[in-house]
Amino acid sequence: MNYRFVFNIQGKVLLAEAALLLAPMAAALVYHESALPFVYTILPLLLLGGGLSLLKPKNTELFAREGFICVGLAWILMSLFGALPFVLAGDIPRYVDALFEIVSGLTTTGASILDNPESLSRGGMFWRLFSHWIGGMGVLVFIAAVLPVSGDHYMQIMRAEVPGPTVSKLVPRVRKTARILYLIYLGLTVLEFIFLLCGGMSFYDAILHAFATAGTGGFSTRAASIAAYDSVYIEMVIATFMLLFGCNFNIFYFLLLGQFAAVFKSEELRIYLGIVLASVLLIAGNIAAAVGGFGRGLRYAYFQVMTVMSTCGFATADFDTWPALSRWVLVLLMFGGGCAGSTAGGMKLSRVIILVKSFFHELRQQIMPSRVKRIWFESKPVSDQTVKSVQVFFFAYMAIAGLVVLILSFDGTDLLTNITASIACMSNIGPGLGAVGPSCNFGFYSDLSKLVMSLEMLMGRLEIFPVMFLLSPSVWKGR
Amino acid sequence: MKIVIAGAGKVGFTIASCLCREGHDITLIDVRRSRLDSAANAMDVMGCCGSCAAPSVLKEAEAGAADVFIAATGNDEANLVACQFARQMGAGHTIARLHNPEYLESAETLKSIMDLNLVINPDHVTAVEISRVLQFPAAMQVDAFPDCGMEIVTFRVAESSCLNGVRLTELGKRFGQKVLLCAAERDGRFLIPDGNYVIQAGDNISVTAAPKALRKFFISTGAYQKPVRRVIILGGSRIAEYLTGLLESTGVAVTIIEENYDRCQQLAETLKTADIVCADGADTGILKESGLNEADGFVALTGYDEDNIILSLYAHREGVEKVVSKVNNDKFTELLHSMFPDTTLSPKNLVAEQIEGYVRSLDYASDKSTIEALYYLGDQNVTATEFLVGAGSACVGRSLAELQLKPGVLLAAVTRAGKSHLPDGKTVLQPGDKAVVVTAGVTVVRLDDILR
Repeated sequence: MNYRFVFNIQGKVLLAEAALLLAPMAAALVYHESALPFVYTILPLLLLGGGLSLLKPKNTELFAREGFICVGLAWILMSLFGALPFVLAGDIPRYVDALFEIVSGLTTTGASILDNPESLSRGGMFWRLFSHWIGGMGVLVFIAAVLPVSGDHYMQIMRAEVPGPTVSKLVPRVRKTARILYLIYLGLTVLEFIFLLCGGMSFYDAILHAFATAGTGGFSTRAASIAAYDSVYIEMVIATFMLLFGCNFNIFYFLLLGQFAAVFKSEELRIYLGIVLASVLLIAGNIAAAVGGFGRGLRYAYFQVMTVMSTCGFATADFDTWPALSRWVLVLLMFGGGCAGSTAGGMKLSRVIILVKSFFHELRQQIMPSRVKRIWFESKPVSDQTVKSVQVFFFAYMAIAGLVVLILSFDGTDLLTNITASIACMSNIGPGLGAVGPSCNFGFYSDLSKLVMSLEMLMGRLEIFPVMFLLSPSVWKGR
Repeated sequence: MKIVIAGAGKVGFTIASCLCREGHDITLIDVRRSRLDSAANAMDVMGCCGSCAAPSVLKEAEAGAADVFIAATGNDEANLVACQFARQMGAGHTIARLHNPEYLESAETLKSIMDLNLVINPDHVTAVEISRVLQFPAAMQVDAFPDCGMEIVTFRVAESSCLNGVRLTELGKRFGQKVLLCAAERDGRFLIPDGNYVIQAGDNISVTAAPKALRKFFISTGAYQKPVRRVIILGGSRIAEYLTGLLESTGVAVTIIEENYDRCQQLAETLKTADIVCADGADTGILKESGLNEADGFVALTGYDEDNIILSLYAHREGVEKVVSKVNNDKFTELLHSMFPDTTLSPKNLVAEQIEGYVRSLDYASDKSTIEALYYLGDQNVTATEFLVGAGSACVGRSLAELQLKPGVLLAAVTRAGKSHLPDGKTVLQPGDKAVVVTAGVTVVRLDDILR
């Protein structure tokens, strides 16, 4: 283990967080609130971060092990410090609650423990939704984009932070790749912000909701979420941007380059859009009678399908009251999530596609044992190693989600609530069904459950392995 | 002409013997003395021992003075280097044999960068040929003349065929389609049939027509078979890879049986839909498990003629409708055809065909009629050659009835302004026409050679 370099990077992460905290602090000042909660958070961050970054590494070699550890550690440190402003400002007095809230923010989950988010200070609210934007693309990718880090081994870190079964660069340089990703991210966020402003949202609400959509988070400034605005325009804008942020960002890069053929050929994108269309029609038909007409059905169905599929977690309707068919379709969509390389959570569609293909592959293999065949995805053969890791990932995903349900069940809540709460945390969606439905919150769970779910959210965002390595001593002991 | 051929393997040897027969001066280059010796024993050529990539060896073979330099070793890069050297020394035309699929993609670019006149990929040529017969399974061989839209189809007349006993003059009346019987093989002898020729069961006959008319002709004679839909390919060679690529695009289901696991893996990475089975194809159990009885096509492409022949016979007996085998040894082809008539191919002959056509076309100077394409029908003695009729040709301006054609020569098709038709006595050739000439036992280098 190259501890020095790992800690050096942690230092940079903490400094970056300190810098990012300036934004909510500015918001607090603009709205004539006390900036002290942020100052008291930034100071220790600067101290520790500065100290760690002074730790000069003897060499800058990074391997897969260091990459995973770096990412896992960075996210946990950021969460631990990120919870402080809520406590210091008195928005969320208990630290465990604040930690749950900030983890939920950074991992772009959007599960809240707050009864009434509107009671939050303006600065606290800004930080709460801004964390979605930070977590969406990832802070280590951000560091690669803005700080002069050695790029030789940085791919090990990118690989651990960027979601999806395989991570490919857009251009030869890691740094340039990270910049392109962030520019696309920023561009889309600004675009959504403008659209929301046009829809009559206040400046403050528009910018925060743009952050929350971009990271596919799901926190809202309002207790009733997007339903509070009761505007078809705003719903459609947000739903469509959720659709966009659920796409692989490479798609936008190809669009910018004018390579439309590559976009059109993308298998994942086509399946993604196909699933969206099918689910929207199915749910719209199913709820038409309950909401008064197919048109209204389409409106709610489109928004809710996108909110679940992009793992955003906004709400315009309490889908917990919908018929069982619609509810179960939404639960199934929770597993899949968005495309690989997007800001969405979940297992990622490309993994699901590879899993389904490997199932049929295995079926045929049973009748023709001597057959040699590759699974093809995006017109390329998938390596056996990738297929295997996808299968293991699926197992780990289900096993951890199941285990968390077991722990949650000690609290005595009903099964549907616990199951969907666990899935919603693992897939970084936010609301589930039952007592954690769109109109409810996670506040009633015990501290232990909240901590476990916080860890689960981190596992979901970082795709399990980095957090698992943090918990396994053998990896720490070095090579 | 003076021709230098590098590589005296199967392909080089065949090219040499074809060109030698046409009267060219051949020098062969090979690293193995034994190959050169056996070539020198079989034909009137000179040998030069050494690597064709070495300038000293090329100098010794006088590659610089050659009108045509053909690099036909098994090594693509050596072929390219040899062609470069020969070009620099002053060789007139350079031809390279290239195997790698990567070079096939970039053939045109390679030709211009390396200043090559012709690039030949024997495996690809063979695969194209096989895919053509799989589209038209009733035929043993299908040769297409791309510019004129005519095809020559060769097939065996079955015992039960209604063609059996039909006189050539009645053919048009009986079956209503405009087809021309241009060559026939009876008991191993090739001939150009005249009006008195009576078709017999067991004859291999070649007919010319437009593809649609040919299809109708086969339907009316009851010999038509639908294009193959499920193919089993034995052996995962490059030919198999190319062939599968061609077949996949037309929706044919392909199963490849290959023994080498690493090769199977490679194939699985390039072929998307084909089933690749890693097993010994000589195991009949494996063949059946892979769906031999459901397949309507079987292609044997292993490296061994014997395996290909035996397994083709087996597949034929199991009831597979179309069986194609790669047989390099011409004697074995005769043997196989005596047992059952189906398509056999040898890559070396296909390459020789192309090169012979190319070399002949260099000879046109006298009447300005150039060769566009050349095929062997049955064996190398019967050829179908497509000429571009030049203004200086003695054939121009007189009707076919007036022209005194040599015996063993037949004008099989004429294309004018993109429309092709079967010639009759009143047909008059004009400059710019494309004429397909079928010859048996006569070497036709220029168009005027068809005249008495």
